[in-house]
Order: sequence, then C-alpha cells, then structure tokens
Amino acid sequence: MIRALLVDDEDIARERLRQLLGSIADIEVVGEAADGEEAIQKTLEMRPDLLLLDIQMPGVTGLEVAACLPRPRPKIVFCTAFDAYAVKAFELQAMDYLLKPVSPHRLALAIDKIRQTEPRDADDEVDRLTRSVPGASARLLARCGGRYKVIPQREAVYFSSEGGLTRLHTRERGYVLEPTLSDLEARLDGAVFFRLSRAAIVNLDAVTEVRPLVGGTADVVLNNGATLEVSRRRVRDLLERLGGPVASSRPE
Amino acid sequence: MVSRVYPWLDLLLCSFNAITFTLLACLWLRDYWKRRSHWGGYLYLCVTAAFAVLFCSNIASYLSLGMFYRPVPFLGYFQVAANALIPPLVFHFFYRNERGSLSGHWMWRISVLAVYALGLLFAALAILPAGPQGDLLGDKNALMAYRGMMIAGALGCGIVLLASGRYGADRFAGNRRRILLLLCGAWMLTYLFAPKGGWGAIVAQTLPLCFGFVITYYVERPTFFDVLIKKGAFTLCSVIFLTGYLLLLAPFLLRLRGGTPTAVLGWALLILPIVLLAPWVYRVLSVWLDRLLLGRRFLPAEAGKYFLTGLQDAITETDLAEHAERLLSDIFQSEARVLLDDEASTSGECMQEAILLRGERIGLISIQPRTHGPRFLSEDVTLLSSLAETYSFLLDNLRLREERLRRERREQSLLLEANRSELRALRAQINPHFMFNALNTIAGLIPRRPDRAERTIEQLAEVFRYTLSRSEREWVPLDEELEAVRAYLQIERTRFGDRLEFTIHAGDDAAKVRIPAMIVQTLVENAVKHGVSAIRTPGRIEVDVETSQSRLWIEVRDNGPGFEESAARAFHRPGDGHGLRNIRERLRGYFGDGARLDARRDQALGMTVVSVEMPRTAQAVEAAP
Repeated sequence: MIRALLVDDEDIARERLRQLLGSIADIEVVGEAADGEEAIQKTLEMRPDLLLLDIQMPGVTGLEVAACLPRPRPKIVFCTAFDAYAVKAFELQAMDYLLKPVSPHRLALAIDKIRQTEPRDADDEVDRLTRSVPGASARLLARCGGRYKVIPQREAVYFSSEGGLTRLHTRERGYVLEPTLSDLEARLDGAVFFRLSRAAIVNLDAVTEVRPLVGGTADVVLNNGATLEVSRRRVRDLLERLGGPVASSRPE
Repeated sequence: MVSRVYPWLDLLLCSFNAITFTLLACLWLRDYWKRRSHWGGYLYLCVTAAFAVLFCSNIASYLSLGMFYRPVPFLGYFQVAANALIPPLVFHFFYRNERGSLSGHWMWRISVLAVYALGLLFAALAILPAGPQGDLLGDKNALMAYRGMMIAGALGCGIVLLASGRYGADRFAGNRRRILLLLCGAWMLTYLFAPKGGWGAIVAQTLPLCFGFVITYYVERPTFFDVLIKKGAFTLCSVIFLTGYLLLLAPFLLRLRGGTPTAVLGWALLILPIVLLAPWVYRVLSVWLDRLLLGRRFLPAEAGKYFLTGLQDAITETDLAEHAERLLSDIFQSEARVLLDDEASTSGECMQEAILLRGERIGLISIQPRTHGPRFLSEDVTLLSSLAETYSFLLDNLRLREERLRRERREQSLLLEANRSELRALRAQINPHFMFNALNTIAGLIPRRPDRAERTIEQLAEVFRYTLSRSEREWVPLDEELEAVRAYLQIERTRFGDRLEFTIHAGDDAAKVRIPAMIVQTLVENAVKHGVSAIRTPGRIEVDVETSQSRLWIEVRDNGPGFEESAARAFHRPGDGHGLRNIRERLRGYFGDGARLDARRDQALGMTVVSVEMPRTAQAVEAAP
C-alpha cells in the first residue's frame, strides 16, 4: 500500500486528485496540505511514501518544499498548470511531472513509474532538480523542539556543528538542522556564507567585527552577540571576503 | 533777357544729354556682356554712342575754351564725325526697325546709303578747308551740307514711319509711330527754319533727348525708367542744384588763391555737404519716384518683409504657393503665378524668375504684365529674383519640416503597430496558467457540483470570446471589458474558494467610454498573479473606474505582498512586470504624455495600487483601427 500526501493550495484541485487516486488500487491518501509549510510539517509527521506536490503555492513553493525535506524523502510527483520555467527544468532532469488538468491515464503512468524507482535515485533526482532551479533552495527546514519551521537562508546568522548536531542560529533563537555542515556548504549561497572553520559557517552580512588574536587566528563577532573563532588558514580569506585590504580591517 | 538764358540752358541740356547717352551706351554694353542681350540691336548702341561722343566732346570743348581759352586739339574731328554719322545712323535705325513692314527693299537701302553719303560730304566740307575749327559750321557750304543732311535724315525717318503705318498695328505701336512722326517733323522744321544759335540750338539740343526717350521707352522699358527717369531725374536735379550752389559760392571761391592749403580746405569743406547729402537725396528721390510716378506699393526691403511675414503661417506647399501668389500680386500689382514644375515656362511678356532649390530648377514664378500702370523695371526684376530666393528658402524649410513630420508619424505608427502585434501575441497565448488552472477547476467540479462546473465553463467561454473578439478591434467600450473582467474574477474565485473576494465599481457614465482593449484585464490578472495568489490569507481585489469631462481613471487594488517581496521571489516568474510595461507602452503610443500608469503601495490600506490615468478623448479615436 502506497501512502500519499496531496499538496495543493486549491481545494477543488485537491478534491480532483483525491477522486482520481481513488480509482487506483493500493494507494491510500493519508492527508492533504494547502501550502508549503503545512506540507513539510505533515510530511515529517506522517512519513508518507508519495507526495503529489503542486508547484505554484503562496509562501513556500513546491520546489522549495522538495529542497527543504531531509533525505530520505518520500517519492515526489510534481504538478503544475503552466510554468514554462519549471517544466523546462523537469525536462532537463528527465523527471516525470503532471500537467493540470490531470488526466487519470497520465496519473496512473506517473505512479507506475515512481513505483519502480529506487528511493535513493529518486532523492538524487530531486536534489539535482532543486539545484538547477535558481532560488529553489533559498529556504531551510529547521527543527525547534518538536516543530519544524521553514527559514529563509538570509535570516541565518551562522551554522555550527556541536556534538554531532548541526545547528542554525538566527538573531532570535537556535534550531536543529538535518544536513551536515558540508552538505549545507554545498547548498548555501557562496556569495553570502563563509566557512570559518570545521565547526562553523557564517553569514557575512551578520559579521560586525573581526578581532585578530595572538597566533594568527581571529575572533568574529556577530550581530546576535555570538563570538566565533576563525581557523588560522581562513583569516586572510575572511578579511578579503569582507572587503578591503587586510590592515584596514584590524580593529583599534 | 531771354537770350541771356540761352547759354545756360544750352550748357545744361548739353551736359544732361552727355550723361544720359553715355549711361545708355554703357548700360547696353553691360547687358550685352552680362546677359548677352542686345536690346534695340547694334544700331541702337551706335546711335547712343554717337550722341554720347557728340555731347561729351561738346562739353569738353566748352570746358577747354572756358579754362584755357583755346580748343582741345583734334576734338573737332570727333564732333564732325559724330555730327556726320548721327542723321544716317538714326535713319538706318528707323529703317532697320521697320524693315519687316516695308516693301521695295532696294529703294530704302539706296536712300540709307544716300544719307550716309551726305554725311560724308558734310564731314569733307567741315574738315577739308582748314581742319576742324572752333565753329565747324563756320563755312557756308558746310552749314548747307549739315542742314541738308539733317533734313534728309528727318525726311527719311518720316517716310519710313509713314510707309510702315499702312500695315495695321496695335495701339502701342500706333502711339509710338505718331510720337516719332511728330518728332521727325520738329526735327525737319528746326533745320529748315531755325536760326543758328539762339532757340534753334536749344531745340537742336532737346530733340536727341526726345528721340532717345521715345525710342528707349519703346525698346526697353525697364532701362528707360531706370536711366531716363530715375537716374535722369537725379542727374538733372543735381546739375541744377550744383549749378545754383556753386553760383552762390562763386564770390568766395574766387577770393581763395588757388593751390594754397586754405583754398584746398575751403573746396573740400564746400564739397563735403554735397557728398554727405547725395545718398540721402538719392534715396528720398527714388522713393518719391517709386511711389508717385511708378506706382509701387512697396520699397524692396518692405516688400521682402511683407512677403516673408505673409508666408510665415503657410503649413503646406499648396498653402505656400497660394499665399505667395496673393502676396506677389499685391507687391507687383499684377497677376502672379507660382508654377512648381521644372518644365514650366510661360510665353509672352511675363516677367519671370526660376525657383531654385539647392541649385536645381524646380519651378517658376511669373508675373503677368500690368494692364494699367507702368511696366516692370529692372528694379522689379531684381526684387522678384530676391523674392524667388526667399520663396525657395521657405519651400526648402517646409519640405524639411514635412519630411521630419512624416518620419515622426511613421515612427509613431510603427510603434503602435508593434504594440498592436504584441497585444495580438498576448491574446493568442492568453495567460495559459489561468486557462489550465480554470480547466483543472472545472474538471474537479464536474463529479460533485456539475451546476457550478457548468457556470464556470460559461464564464470561461465569456472571457475567451471577449479576448478573441478583441483581436479585431483596439478600442472597446469600458462596460464590455468590465464584464469580461468580472467573469475572469469569478473563475478565479471559484478556483481559490474563500481566498478571493472582489468588487468592481464604475460610474454609469463611464460605461460607454472607449478604452484600449485589455487594459483593465491585464491589471487585474497582474493583481491575481502577483497579489492574491501569493498569500495564504483571504485575498481582495478592488477595481474602480472614475471619469471627469475629459479624463478617465482606472484603479486596481490588491492586498497581496506588494512589489518588494514579489521582486524577491521573481526567480520563478521571469515574465514579471511584462504586463505593466506593455500597458505603459500602449498608452504612450495612443496618448503620448497624456496618459500615466502608476504603481504604489498604500501602507494604510495594506494594498498594492496600480492606477491608470488617460484622456477621455478615446471616443474621438473610435475610428482608429
């Protein structure tokens, strides 16, 4: 039995999907979500096998939902009414997708196909897709206590790795993230984020001060009050990235 | 008493004659060299030159006798030669002019030769006895020969005129013949009866002048007026004035011993007022002559100004030509025509001038001869040529302006055309996102709520019918567009469920106002796409149309996230802003700067407001495709 979650902001569209899926054997619709955040929340709670994910939604779009979800993800079938840009990306990645209005035949084919794909391959495909669409991974999925929250990248002040857990710190509070720092470094916007050391990635826009220390290392002061240490090899790089010659960045 | 005046009069006439005939001869030569025209023929030149030589040598002999108390050597030969040549030349000239209407050519030729022979005889008699003397008619035989030659010449001319009169001629020629006949009679009588010296000399001096006047008048009128009337009058006035002036000053002048600095200074000071006054007097005199005698309405400068001012407001070539004809008729007091055709030419006695445009002849201005009033003079010709130049300058200007206007209009229409095709393209692929979503909604509605599905299909059909029919017309009544917008919003409302509410408000008198098609529709689609569909809370769209006498305002408001956030999310909407730009360009195409499109965020309402303001003159443009 395949457990499916339907994600679409239009009630009637979800209704139709549910109706069509009803005629396919061994599919059970376990839930519905009307926007991206709800979709992530329910996915993490219900652990469905299949997501039928609409792309155009207010707030977090379908592509962002896919990018946020930690591996292993459920298998995903994207739906769109008309979005030339996304459709082009699908075709480049040879991914299957559904066009609205969805026909029962096409839906059955897509589900057959997805049934035969290895979960790992499906995840790789989604990763490639979301990386190929600029901005699709502009949001991160973070955990705080028992709840999940979607946080735009630019709100992150720094990421740290503490005792095997990856943490995201905003100005207000800290969250726990699924990916490792190295995974994050690959996903984040290289123009804004900088790897300080093995244990930290920092948002350059949040840096307020750099204090050089004896021995060639330095401390970085951030706008949420935190202080992080920069590894010796990266001090020079950091100062250059912050702009201007090394000497002028030295605080008095 | 009277006899005391004779020498003065004689001298005055003589000098006037000398100046006049010298001028005429020079003018003829100038025209010949400049324009290769020989009006009056070569004989005219010979006659005037002979008179000029005669009177100039007379003056010279007067002066030399007065100053040095002896004649200039060899001057007598010139006087004799001129005297001997004048009667035969005049006779020859008359014969040459009338040759066409005379019969028996050989007889006339013999007569001409006979008069030349008489002249030769006189010359021989005057010179042979003792060389030329102070008084060449001193010898009795010479005097006889002189009188015989003169009478023969006058008789010959008279007979020529009489003989040619047998053939019908117009009034103009008739008048000329009568006057010349009269003069010939006077000529003959003078030399038959007049005494030597005294009034006979005066008449003898006057006669050539009269002949010169009449002949020149009939041969070349502009020259006649220029030389004999204007310059002649000026010369006469100056000679009289100078004579009187110097007479008055003579006592002082004689007291100054010649050659001293005082004398030189005195002369210079005496001449100075004349030098200073002469140009002014000449100008005043010529204005006076132009106005009173020649009936000219304008001085050349005034005419130029009048012409230019009158042509200033002409906006087409036809206008320009018509105005120019009217103004030229006014200036020249005669019918004027402007022919813009490089082959154009006129026949007859028209005064004409080519219109040159950058060195190329493109037409002709012709002035008909006046039926009443004086004929055209050389000054009129000069004036016409300067006016023709003004005209071609203005024409050139006008053509350049028209060319520029045409280019601008072409560009404008190209822009409109581009907008139109862009609009057509926009219609052809009318918002596929909307279409597929609408179809999906309908598909979802069919099983459970077929009535709602049916209504949605009807609304969809209405939207499509409207957009398709609009590809035929650019301008639509506002209420038609608003109906389609309503149908569109209802479909979207069905699709979004509770998430969309809308109001459409338009005044009653706005219903029939025409607007460029799809303006409101595009604004509303924009509001749905970037506004309502981007938020999770209930969305709201308000459409307001207001009108005044002359203007129309359309306002579309939505409570979406506004521009900043949608710009931040632009990654999946590469076509963002395309709709607004399209509207802005179309409005500029139709109204230029007369229409505006503004987009702003109303923080108080928390709504994005897009407003269009345009003239309500759209009705007038109804006929536009």
